[in-house]
Amino acid sequence: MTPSTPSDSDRLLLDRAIDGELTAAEQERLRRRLSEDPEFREEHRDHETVVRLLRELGQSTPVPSDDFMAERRSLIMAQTVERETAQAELSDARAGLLKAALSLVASIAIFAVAVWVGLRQPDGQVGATAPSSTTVLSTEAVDALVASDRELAVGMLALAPPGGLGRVDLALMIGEDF
Amino acid sequence: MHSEIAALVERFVAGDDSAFAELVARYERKVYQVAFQIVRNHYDADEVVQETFVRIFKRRNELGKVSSFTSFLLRVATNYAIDLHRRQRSHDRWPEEDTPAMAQLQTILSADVRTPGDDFRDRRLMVEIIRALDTLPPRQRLTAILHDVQGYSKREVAEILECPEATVRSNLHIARTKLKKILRKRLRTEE
Repeated sequence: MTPSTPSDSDRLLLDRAIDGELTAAEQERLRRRLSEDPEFREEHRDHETVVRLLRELGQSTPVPSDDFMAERRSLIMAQTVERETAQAELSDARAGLLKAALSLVASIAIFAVAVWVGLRQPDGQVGATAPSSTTVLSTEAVDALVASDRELAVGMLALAPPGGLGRVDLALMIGEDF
Repeated sequence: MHSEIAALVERFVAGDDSAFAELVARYERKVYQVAFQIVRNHYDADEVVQETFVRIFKRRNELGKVSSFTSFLLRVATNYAIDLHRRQRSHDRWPEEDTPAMAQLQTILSADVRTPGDDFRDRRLMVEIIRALDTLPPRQRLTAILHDVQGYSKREVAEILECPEATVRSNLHIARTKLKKILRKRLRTEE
C-alpha cells in the first residue's frame, strides 16, 4: 500500500484499538495498515505514547497519607453534620426564646383585658378605688358607677376636673348642674 | 459493592450521619485524585475534596433521584475543580517557575514516585503532556483526565459529564489528537 496521511477514520481506528474495542475484522485491517504504511505506523506509535503518558500521569498522582485524610474527614464532618446539629440546637433555643416572649406578651394582654373588664363591672369595685383617675370619668365607667352607687358618683363629680371627660354625663345622671 | 453504596446512600438520605462519614471515607481519595489532575496542586485538590462533600451533604435530598452516586459525586467535584482552576488561571496566581505543571513535575521527579518508562525522555514527555493538557478546552480536558488518566469507562465519563457516550468518544479523540500534535511540535522545536 502507498503511504498516505492518516485520515480521521484511521485515527478513530487507532483510538478504538488503544481502548481495546476493535472487532476481529478491524484488528486485521489495522494490522495490514500498520505493516504496509510507515506513516500510519508513526501515527500509531505517537497515539500510543500520548495515551500511555496520560495513563502514567494517573499513576503519578500523589496519594495523601491516612493521617491527612483522617484529619480532612474530621474537618468535613465539622463543616456538615456538626454544623447542622449546632444550627438545629440554635434554632431550638431561638424557638424557646420566642415562645417565652410570646407567653409574656400573652400574659400582659390577659392582665390588661382583665383590668379593662374589671373596670366595666356594675358593682364598680375597681373603679371606686381610683376616684382621681381620668379613666374613672370615661362614659362607660360613669354608667357603671351611677347604676350602682349614686353617692359615689356625686363624690366623683366633685373630684372631676372642670370640663373633664364624662363630667356632663355624671352630672346629668345624678340630676345636678355640671 | 454497588448495592453496598446504594444502601449507604439510602441511609445517608434518611439522616444517618454515620453513613455520610462512611461515604466520605470511601470516596475522598478518588475525589482527591481526580481533583489533583484538574487543579494540579495539593492545596486546591484538598479544597475540592472538602467543598465537594459539603455540597453533597447539602444536596442529599437530590441523591434519591440519581442513578449513580459515584457519577454524581465526581460531577460535583469536577465542576468545582474546573471553576477553581479557571479562577486561578484568570488571576494568574502562579509565577512562571511555580506553575502547577512544575509542581507536578516535582512530584514525578521525586524518588517516591517511579514512572513505568523511567528515563529522562519519558519524564520530559510527561511534563509536556501536563502542559499540553492545560491548553485543551475544559470538556476535552476533563474527558481525557477522567478516561485516560483516571481510567473511568466511557459510559462512566458520559454519566459524570452528563452527555452522550458518543460525545465522550468524540471529545476523547479530539483531545488525544491535539495532545499528539502539541507533543510533536514541542519535541521537534527542542530537537
